[in-house]
Amino acid sequence: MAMDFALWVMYFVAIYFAVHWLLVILENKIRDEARSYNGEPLVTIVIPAWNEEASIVGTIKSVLKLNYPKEKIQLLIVDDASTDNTEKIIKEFVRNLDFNIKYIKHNVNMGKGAALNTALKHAEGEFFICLDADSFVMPEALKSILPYFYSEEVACVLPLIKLKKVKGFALHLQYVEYLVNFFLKKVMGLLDCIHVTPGPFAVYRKNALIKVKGFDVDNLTEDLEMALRLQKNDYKIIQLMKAKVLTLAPDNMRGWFRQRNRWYKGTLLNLHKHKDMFFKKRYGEFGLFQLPMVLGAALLSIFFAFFVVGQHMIKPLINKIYDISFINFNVGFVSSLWMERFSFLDFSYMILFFSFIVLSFGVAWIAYAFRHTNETFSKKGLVSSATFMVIYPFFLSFVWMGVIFDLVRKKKQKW
Amino acid sequence: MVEPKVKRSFNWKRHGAALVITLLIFTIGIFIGSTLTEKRIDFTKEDIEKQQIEYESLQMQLLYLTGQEEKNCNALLNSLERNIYDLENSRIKLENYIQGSDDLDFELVKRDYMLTEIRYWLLATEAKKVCSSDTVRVLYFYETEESCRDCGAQGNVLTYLKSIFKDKLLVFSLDVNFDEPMIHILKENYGIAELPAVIVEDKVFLGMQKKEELIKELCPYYRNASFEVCQ
Repeated sequence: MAMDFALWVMYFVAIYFAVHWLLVILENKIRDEARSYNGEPLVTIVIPAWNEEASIVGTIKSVLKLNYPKEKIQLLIVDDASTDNTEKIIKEFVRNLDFNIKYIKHNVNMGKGAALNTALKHAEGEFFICLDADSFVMPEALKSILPYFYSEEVACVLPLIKLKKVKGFALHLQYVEYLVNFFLKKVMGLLDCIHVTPGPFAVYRKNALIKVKGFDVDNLTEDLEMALRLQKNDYKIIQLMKAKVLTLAPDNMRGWFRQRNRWYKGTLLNLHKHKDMFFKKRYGEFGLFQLPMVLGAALLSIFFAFFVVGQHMIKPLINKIYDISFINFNVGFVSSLWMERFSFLDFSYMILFFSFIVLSFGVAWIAYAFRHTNETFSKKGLVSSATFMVIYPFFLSFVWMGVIFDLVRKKKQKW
Repeated sequence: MVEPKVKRSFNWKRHGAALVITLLIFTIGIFIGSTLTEKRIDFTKEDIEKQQIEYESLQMQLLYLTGQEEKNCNALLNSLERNIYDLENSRIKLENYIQGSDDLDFELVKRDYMLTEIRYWLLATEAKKVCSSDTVRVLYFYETEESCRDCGAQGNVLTYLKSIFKDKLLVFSLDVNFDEPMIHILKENYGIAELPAVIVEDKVFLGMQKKEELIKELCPYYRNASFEVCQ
């Protein structure tokens, strides 16, 4: 009974979130506002790397191709004690380049936060740009981002991140996931509610980073922690849709699970770290709605994982399999019996109704996401969207099961 | 350096509107749910009323046949078997509906079902005597609580056997936890200490009975019939 009540609360909260964000979309203009700025200040681009031999050259090349005066770019590569050929590959590639590049190597692996702080010490630019070694910036991105630092309160401007290649199941799933998440971030930005500044080409105002004392070391998701601290200091974070960065996402589900495990674990830990911002009127929508929503969404997923998936799907399925094991798994018999007993009253119309509502929100959200990320809705989009809507919540629930499991047994991890 | 100054606000109007819309969606959902429950209650009520009328008709037929020397039992036995089968199907449906709703009306309907099962079981006992038929009566005690791990499996096995022995096997299911004195009497009478429990005619089997074990038990009753599983 208590569980049933909790289930209703879950539905209610989930629908409330969805309705609220739809209202935000309806009352605001989503497109990036027009801004122009012709200055070309010195920028520091930082590539933190740990065992990135496969992709780092491509990442550096994308920086070289930026439509920006090369004398205005300082490129810092911080190698966090890679154990593969990263060092050799970088040194060979940059040897004859006429570009302001500095390679710094940590003697011991210290984590990405520490790598970024090392870079911050050496950074000479007015802007500090983090570029993950598995990401590739598009030539126009920097020029489209800089005009948005129109005021000192703007601490960070984020580009739209898309997948570099979409091949195979895991990447198809993430294709829509990225579009939807970045569209959501764009909408959140309208209420100054962005709670994460992802690694691929996040452009920070260096002074703001110095003021908040740099990145947190020993943090699973230092980008999320940084966003929370910027918000705490009343800085503005802007999500753009016109500046684009391509990234390499895990191309198999195991990699996907591991990456999400780290992200969501980091989310929980950092929300706990900044719990003092929760329900504080001083932080407006961010404290009163966004943070409780992020935590609420996490709790919803955990609840969905253990209660809906575990209790209402996996357990009955196991029971059913156990039951029919006594009649030699005669599925034909069971299904003909089901057909014989079936009547239209057997459908749970209430559940169907709520599923319909949730599905409609999902479709609306995906449609908006495609429109505002300028993606054409092709066959790829259709397949990915359908997979995303049907399977994704279940995968996510497995990720959360893993997160809870790790937190309980206090597993340690760095990158 | 200029201090950052994002203007923080909270739009109570928008959140209020979101709350109202969410409540509206929920009200519609709950309305659909309660309408469905009502329809299901009406359906099961109508069904059991029909079953009770059928029962009265069969009782009358039996009474008539008891006084006859030349007994033509076929019609009686056929409709008896058909009704018991329908009753079982409706009972399973009812149990499923109860799982999806805690409406007290369902409990009242379930009492009618349990009593009708017992009535039919008694009638079948009489009919067997009067018509000297070779049908076998199986009384099946179950509970809906999760503590009975094998009740679902046992139900499945009995349904499967019913599909093999067809009209020669009559299954009557009783929920032992249902608060009905008649069920308590039967439970004590047969000494049901473990669930599931299957009573084949008057022989008591406690705990999960596999289909092979029950087939072995049932076949001797069907000496005149030729079932493949009994060969």
